[in-house]
Amino acid sequence: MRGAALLLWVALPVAACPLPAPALQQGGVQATWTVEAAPIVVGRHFAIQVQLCPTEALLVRVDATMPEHRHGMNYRPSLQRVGEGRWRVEGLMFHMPGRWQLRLDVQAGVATEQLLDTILLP
Amino acid sequence: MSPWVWLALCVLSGVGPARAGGVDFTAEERARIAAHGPWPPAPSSDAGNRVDGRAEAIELGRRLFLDKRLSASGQLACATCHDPKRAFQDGKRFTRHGRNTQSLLDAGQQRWFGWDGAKDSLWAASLAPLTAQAELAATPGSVLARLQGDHALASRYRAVFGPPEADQALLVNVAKALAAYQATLRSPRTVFDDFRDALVRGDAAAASRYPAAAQRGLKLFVGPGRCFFCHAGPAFTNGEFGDVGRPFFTAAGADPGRWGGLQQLFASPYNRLGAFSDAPAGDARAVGTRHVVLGPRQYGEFKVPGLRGLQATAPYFHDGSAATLDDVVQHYSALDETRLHADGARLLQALKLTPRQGADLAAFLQTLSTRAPAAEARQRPR
Repeated sequence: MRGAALLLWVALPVAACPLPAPALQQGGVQATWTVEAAPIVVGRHFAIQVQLCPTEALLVRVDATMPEHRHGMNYRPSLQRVGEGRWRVEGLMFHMPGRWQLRLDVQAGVATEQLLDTILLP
Repeated sequence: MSPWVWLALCVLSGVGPARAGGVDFTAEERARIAAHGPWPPAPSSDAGNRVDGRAEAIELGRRLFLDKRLSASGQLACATCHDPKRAFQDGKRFTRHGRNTQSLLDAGQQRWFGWDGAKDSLWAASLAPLTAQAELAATPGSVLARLQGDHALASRYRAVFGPPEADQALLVNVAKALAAYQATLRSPRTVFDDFRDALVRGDAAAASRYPAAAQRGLKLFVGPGRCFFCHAGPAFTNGEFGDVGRPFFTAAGADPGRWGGLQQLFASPYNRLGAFSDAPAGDARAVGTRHVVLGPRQYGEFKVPGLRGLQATAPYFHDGSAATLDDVVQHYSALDETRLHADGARLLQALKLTPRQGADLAAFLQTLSTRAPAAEARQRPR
């Protein structure tokens, strides 16, 4: 789980695989992400940068939901490949405080892995 | 100070519940209160409107806003429904749309316009009533004739936009001048802002000047009432849409709210992604338009209104069905939960307030309209 206060913008260096902890991991895929122009503010759009490992993996979908309330965002983020496993994701917006679950769908070879992270927005 | 940094400082310094004028606020509640400021916010500009912020465009827009001769009938101005003496709304329950007229104060800060968010810019929101047959019903020809008949006004137009021509760009330019003016309309600092700032800087003496009833109401607002879930941030709105259990059936039929608004937005040539926007590709303020999605859940959802200045903007809700602030509080106190769509944990629950709690919540809401002493002094004639 990430405390929202820790979501400070740090330019992602070109990472060597495997990614150092703490990284999200599922199957053979790892990911880290950071917020541009942190912090995340309720009702304000934000973008994130994602680093994938292996670098040739594809980020195919990013979404976020509030599991307790069973609703998601009002926006569908767009994904832009920056290069060397880095992606920029734009158009996210958390319109309520509480627990949000960020989901990254990553395709690596024939498998698509789902990486989950939790953000608490006070 | 960012509320995040403030919260982090509270946690690090072990600050626990703090008393301000008789009411204990936890560190979490204080962080939530801090997130409702500072006020006023930093000015924001609109790259989609090339004349936004230009003094001569603001003055042209102000004059046009008040000018009934802009309408085909000569009987209606923007100010007819958005009356400057009534916080830029009309005080009526609803218009022919079956919707309440919203105030224009702080409109420049918004992402979506109208109860259904069918417009994504202030200028597009101005163009719609300017050209609607049932409203101002202006046409390129009628506006050009109006300018040709008023040398001073035509001169002001030319100074901002160049020579007028009887085409669609003329109407869009008028809408952009109107928007430049409306973007300057701000609600003043309130006694709540003084309290919030005192709380942030740890000034207990200044904080104690905030009425005790308002403090108790605020504690409900950022606590068990969960009002801050949607009425978030300095403007007391998350800028999005919700169903709060008000009816969406009108005499004219069902009002689809956001569901219909989004369809209008996507179909409009005047949205932020269209050719009439002046912004370059990748405009930051178009991020919502680029990514918003339409879903069935949005049927019957209406915009979460900001709460600043709301004492002057009665009646309330999208259909104007609550005459007073007390009626609004009563609605949330006795909410019909079976009316709401909820799959998981309910966001909205009947608050079941005692009479004193209801009065406290209303007292807090009223302070969002009470000018801070400094703002009041600036307003008084010298």
